[in-house]
Amino acid sequence: MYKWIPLIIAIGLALVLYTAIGKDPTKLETARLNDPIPEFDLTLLEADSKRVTQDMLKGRPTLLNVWATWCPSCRVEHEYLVQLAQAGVPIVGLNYKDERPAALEWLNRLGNPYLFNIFDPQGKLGFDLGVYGAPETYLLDKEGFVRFRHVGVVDSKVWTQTLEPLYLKLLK
Amino acid sequence: MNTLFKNTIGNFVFLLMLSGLSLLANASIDVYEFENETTREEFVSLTKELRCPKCQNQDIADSNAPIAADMRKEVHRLLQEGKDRESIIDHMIERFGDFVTYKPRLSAETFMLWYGPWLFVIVGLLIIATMIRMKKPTSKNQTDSMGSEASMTDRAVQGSEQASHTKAEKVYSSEVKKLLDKYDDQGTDNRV
Repeated sequence: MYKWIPLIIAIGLALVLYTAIGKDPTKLETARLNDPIPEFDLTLLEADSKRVTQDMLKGRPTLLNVWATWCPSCRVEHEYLVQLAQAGVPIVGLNYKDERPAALEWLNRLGNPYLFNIFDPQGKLGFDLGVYGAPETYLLDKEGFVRFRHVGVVDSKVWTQTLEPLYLKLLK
Repeated sequence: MNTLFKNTIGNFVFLLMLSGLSLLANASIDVYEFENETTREEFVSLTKELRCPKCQNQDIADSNAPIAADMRKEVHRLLQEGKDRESIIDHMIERFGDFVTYKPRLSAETFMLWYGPWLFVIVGLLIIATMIRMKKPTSKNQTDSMGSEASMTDRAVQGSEQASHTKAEKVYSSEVKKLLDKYDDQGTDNRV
């Protein structure tokens, strides 16, 4: 019997190593997964006199999209976000380390898929969320808990394969 | 005279360019002030232990990524607030996950990382031990037979003869017996 032991170990090791093949090492775990969105007190991008807090993200499942005008991939996904918004998906923007005039000009020019935008010039909420590179898209449930995070561009493939099934589950 | 003048001008321009370069180089370095040397050392060691989530094989002291700069700023702020090392690392793990430290804390997820190698060594040793015991059932007796009590030797050889089921083993143990007899003849007999 014992002569099979090395083979068994080799197969076991191969299985363990196989699970890591094809994994993108730049995609990190979501530390905030299943945590409520961190508390914040910022202003709206659209109006610097309007305060916005974590409570404004509660009530229904929402996508929280982290974007900035300096971020090329954000430009890539923007059209698709506009389509999603037209299809009725609620998207809130987190304008991350950006400048207000540039961000507003971007929305005017490219269309505005967001219900509203949280203006976070210092990247404070971004830091508390664990944002390490825009664009990132968080799926929040109606209680304001983080249920999923996608790092990178949201396109139709990401939406239909990953985000939409989770979003539909949260709607129930 | 003219060439000397040109050279001076040339040197001056060159120096200007150099100083311009060094100004540029300094522009990306952020400056932090500390109340005392201990906090400064804590800052240096923390920024070397925390890992940049964006440029993955750099610590945050080394990285130029904006997120690394933010993290250095946060480490500095927390140190100024009087937070200790552990709580600063926890603060970062809470936001960026276990990935963010080069020395992951012990948890259910990181258990294998810390103790996996030891488990492998123990399992390996157990396997080697079992294999040795299963492969050579007579070898232990042989060692014993080298001991001082020949009566035990005889018993052992007999025992092994009883235990041996194959012809080859019988041949082997009789060889052992012959060898032992030879030793006895040569006066290495320590019979009591």
